Amino acid sequence: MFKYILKRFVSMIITMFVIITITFLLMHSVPGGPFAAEKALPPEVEQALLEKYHLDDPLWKQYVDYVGGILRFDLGPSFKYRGLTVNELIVSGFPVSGRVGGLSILVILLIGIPLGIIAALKQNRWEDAVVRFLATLGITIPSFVLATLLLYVFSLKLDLLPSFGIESWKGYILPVVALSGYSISFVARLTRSSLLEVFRQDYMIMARAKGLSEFKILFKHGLKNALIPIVTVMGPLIAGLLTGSFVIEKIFALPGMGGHFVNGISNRDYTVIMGITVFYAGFLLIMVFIVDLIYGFLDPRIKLDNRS
Amino acid sequence: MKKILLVLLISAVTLTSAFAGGKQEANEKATNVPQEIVYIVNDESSDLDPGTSSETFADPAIINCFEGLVTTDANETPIPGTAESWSISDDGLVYTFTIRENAKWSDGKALTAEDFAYSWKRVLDPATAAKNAGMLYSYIKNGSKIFQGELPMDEAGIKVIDERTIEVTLEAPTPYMLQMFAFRCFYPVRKDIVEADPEGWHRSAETYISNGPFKASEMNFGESIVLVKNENYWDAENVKLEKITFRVISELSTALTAMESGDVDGISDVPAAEIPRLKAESDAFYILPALGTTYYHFNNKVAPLNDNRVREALSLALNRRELVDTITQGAGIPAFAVVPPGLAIGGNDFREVGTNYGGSEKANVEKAQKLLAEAGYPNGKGFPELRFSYYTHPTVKKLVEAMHQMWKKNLGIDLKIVNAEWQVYYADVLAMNYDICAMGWGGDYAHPMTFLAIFTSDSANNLSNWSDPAYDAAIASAQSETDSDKILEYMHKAEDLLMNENRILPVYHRSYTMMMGSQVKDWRRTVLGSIVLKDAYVTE
Repeated sequence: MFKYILKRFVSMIITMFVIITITFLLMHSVPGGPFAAEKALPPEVEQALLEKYHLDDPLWKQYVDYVGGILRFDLGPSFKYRGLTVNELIVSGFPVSGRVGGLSILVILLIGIPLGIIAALKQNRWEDAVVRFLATLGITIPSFVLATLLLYVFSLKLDLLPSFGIESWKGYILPVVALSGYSISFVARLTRSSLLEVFRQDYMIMARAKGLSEFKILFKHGLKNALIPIVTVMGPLIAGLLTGSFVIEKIFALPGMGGHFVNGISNRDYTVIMGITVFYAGFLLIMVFIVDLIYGFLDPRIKLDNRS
Repeated sequence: MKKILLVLLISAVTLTSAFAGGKQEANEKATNVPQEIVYIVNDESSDLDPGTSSETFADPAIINCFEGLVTTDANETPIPGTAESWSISDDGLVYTFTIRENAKWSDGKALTAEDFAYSWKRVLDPATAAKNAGMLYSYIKNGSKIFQGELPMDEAGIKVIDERTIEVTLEAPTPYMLQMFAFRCFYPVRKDIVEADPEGWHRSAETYISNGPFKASEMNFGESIVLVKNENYWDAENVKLEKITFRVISELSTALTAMESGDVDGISDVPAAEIPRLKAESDAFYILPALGTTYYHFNNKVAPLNDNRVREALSLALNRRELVDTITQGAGIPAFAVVPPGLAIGGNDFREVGTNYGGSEKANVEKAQKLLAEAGYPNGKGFPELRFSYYTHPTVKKLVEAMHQMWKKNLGIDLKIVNAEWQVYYADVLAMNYDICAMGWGGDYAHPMTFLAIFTSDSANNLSNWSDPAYDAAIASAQSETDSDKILEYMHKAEDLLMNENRILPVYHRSYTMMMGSQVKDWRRTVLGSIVLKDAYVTE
């Protein structure tokens, strides 16, 4: 096990390195620079800015400096937001995205999986039809439409919930619903199909033949095996939700990371793009790693160590 | 011999159409209403340091937290701010300001002439990388040479006489210099604070020490800036608001929902599609004049745009009334010249005195077709497929498409529409890599020169690929003249040189569309876009 973790760790470092290099090169090959303002800048000012942010250094030096910074956990200053470091940007944005995303994950798990179980147990009955209808609706309605609709109904017309921000607990409701709508539907459908698949397996017939209780059959043999594809999608999904959705953050005016990232791209804020990419990539790699560990727990047939 | 100048002399330069919002009803202020407002702005500011920042989103915080020696009233007329008075030498070159005795920083320390001298020299230092540095170095004696490193800072025309007196010497008598002193890069910043953290001092409420009616109490990046009344402000007894929250909501429809559900007091912009409904329904909706013009550049060196008949035909073929009504939903005025209405020199509105250069709000298709035929393109035949470039923006996109259709229908010419996001687009335009392109200008100070100075041959913002020594001479004469009639004459001469030959293509003069609840009184949105809350208060 330890050997496996060590191996995975080394491969994660290499992956990160590749991601950093590719992002760095891609970013610098995109036309346009970070200092294009509303009006033309005096050449002396432009030169001073280039010097200040070391953008006049040769590209290889900028790259070496940048990687050196990452090793010291220093993601550099933002080019667009003067006086702000990327570390500060992440420290201020991640908790916002993380809270909304974390709640969404809970909601997705607590609603999506039970709905899928109900649909699978009551296959082709009305319960199944209702779940499938809702799930199809949830998958086809884009989150920005759902968000706008929710705002219109609950904030403007009924005046029950705030229209922006998460200053009070009420503020979380609309963003979380809008953010989790798609994923609830997705997880419910996946749970349903995965369970139905498992129900057809020989070991389920075996369990029934052994005379196990329906509860034990469903949870110990059925659900545990059916969870494998769900765990697979949950890894990237959790990383994605916790690091923020640009659309939802924009509509509900949340100062999260998703917004900072997309604005960073249009601003050509190199360090912000790099920093958030590195953060996101690191997060994603860790999540995928955790998912792999959970596989081993769910299904003993999946061996983590080399088949020795 | 110096003539003492207070408010009176400067009233020569008044701005006729400035708006004072929320018509005041005398003594309506109810004492038990919390004097707090929430106002929505549309983006996070990239830089809140008044000396270095050049962008719009910093304005609400800077304008309400800081004050220059000079400030402006509701008519954009310069009035005493942190200075109680000033005098100007007869040749118009030397300004001597007397700072108020009770001028203080928000932390209670005295505000002195040294503070101003430090702040201005900081902007003049190229190492500071102040984006608006040109607003100082172009005017202050030796400014340009210091900025380019040819002279030491000591040679700057900035002299501290005593603790309360500062003397500024200019390069040339500049008729709009008092307006410049009211501009943000002339605001004072605190030396000890700035030097302790030159990059980050303006990012935290503790170090955002200011000298205006309000001071920062909270700064939440990407979310809000909260201001509270500055008890150390010299005129604090007349400041009524206790707390202002500038909340960032970049999605205009969310901001409108917040406004209409009563969660906020005001919003700085509305979605264009909602304008007709708001005009009909809302008493909180305002369309206010802006000092801005949307114009398009012709690349004057590219054939056939180097032929005035072609440029004029393109201009005449536009139905500007229709463009304004359908694209901006009526929030604009058809434009035929670069300087917008509302700028008065010596009591005369610059635009009213000037002509509209034969333009009409509706298209003059017949004349346009005739001119195009004379230029060798009857019914648009043989007209090259020129590039019509614009930057990614919903309104600009609609405008470009509508103009493209009008030219196609009225002149039979088909242009190639080219789109890029601003960062890429602007680099192309700076490199003259365009044929016709979208551009515009928002004034920095309330004087026609803020528009006319764009088109001199040495201006970095002159992107028309055109220059004329006669134009440069007219501008230089206006800048070194002290007689207001002559200044007006020179400026009109310059605008004639630009517009008689259709060197650029003006489309419309801009407006602000915004909302403010009727419970908020005595706020104002200046033609320069600032939301000024110094006099504002809240009623039931």
